[in-house]
Amino acid sequence: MTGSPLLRLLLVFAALALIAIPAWRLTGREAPAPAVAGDKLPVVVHELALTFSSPILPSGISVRASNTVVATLTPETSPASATVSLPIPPEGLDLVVSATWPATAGQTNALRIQASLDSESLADTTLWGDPDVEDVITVTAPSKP
Amino acid sequence: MRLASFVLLTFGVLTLQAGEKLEVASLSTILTDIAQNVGGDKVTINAIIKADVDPHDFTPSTSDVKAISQAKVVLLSGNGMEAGYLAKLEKSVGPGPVFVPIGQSIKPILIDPAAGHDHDHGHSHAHPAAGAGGKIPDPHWWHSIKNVATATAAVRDAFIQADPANKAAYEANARAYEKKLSDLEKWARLEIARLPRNQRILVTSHDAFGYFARDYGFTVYPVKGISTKDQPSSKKVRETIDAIKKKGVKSVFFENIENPKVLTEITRETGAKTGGVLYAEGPGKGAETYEKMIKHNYSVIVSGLE
Repeated sequence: MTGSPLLRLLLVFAALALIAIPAWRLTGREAPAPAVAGDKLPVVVHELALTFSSPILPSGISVRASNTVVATLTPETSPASATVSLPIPPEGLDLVVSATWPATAGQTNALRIQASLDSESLADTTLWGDPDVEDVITVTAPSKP
Repeated sequence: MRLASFVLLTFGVLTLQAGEKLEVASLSTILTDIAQNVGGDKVTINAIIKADVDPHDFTPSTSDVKAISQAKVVLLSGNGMEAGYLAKLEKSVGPGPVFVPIGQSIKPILIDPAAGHDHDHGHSHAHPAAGAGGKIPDPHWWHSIKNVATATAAVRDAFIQADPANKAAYEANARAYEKKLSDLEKWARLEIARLPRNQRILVTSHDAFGYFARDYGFTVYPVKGISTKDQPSSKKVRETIDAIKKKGVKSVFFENIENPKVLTEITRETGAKTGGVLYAEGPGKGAETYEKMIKHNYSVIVSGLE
């Protein structure tokens, strides 16, 4: 190429500058944002009716959802009832039910737990304890969200 | 019935001299643990596959073949795990040992062998023969505690068949171990219940946790297929990244015997954390028994996703 060396140098710099802008946009990456929830369906809170039945009255019953106590009862009759307000996602809901019996009750005890919403049965499970009960019941999502 | 049938078909009549221990070889760390619990002091167990060894990548050496040839009972994981070398091994050891594929006594989850990996990268692992519909059994049956209880009964029956004089001991030991498994199962239910069902998404290296997912309502996104030797497909990696972002998955989990490279790249792209290391193929250093392995894995998963 003929002409002033200074002009040639300026043209080279100009060409590099033009290439640098798209190159920087392709390669310069910001750190990724932390994982965020996508478009989740809103989870509706339901008034879940719980019924507890046992041949021998437990001294006490408690119900936990994800480590949070949502109900405690000292039943005076069988069946005993409680209502809890909980969100039930489409995948269902696990509740941990604990029950204790007086020492006179014997070594093996049973507790039937029924969960329902607007007369729809969402769980019906019997837990066995020797003598006390601590176990999980799974409440299915209601048919009408 | 199925269990009794395969044990009876597998064995001839074997007798041991009084006081002689039953020689057992195990090609699975899970079965080594079960055999130790069921056999107690009536058996000598040669653990051919050791802790932290990848069974997908294992081929018996000459000394392994010699050790196996001296056993009366050889416990196999089954469901295709030993497909790459079993025929040759059986021929090499001769007619003495009886091979017992314990996994065959368990109802398997059937999966698509092509899911999640490519077959054009020159690797040489074998898949088990596909059944009807082209599906194969998932060999990782031990990730269901119920399956391990079934396996315990199968090991008990295999030992009784080989050593009927010690039937009472094997039955008593199996009952004690089944009680331990029942307690472990209850612990597992309570542990997993800490995690809401809509947060039960597990991202791992390879597709080993299908039985766990079935039992506890998880959805698993494995980067690779059922073998650690599979190469992850770019489509599978992309699907995993999209799922993590869309569902807000907080953590992904490495495996103790796996190269973490692909998962590390996924965490960089998604911002998800590394939730911890899981034992996918059996007990390992730091979790030397099946019970310890389960308690470690479940605690890590729940803590990582809470």
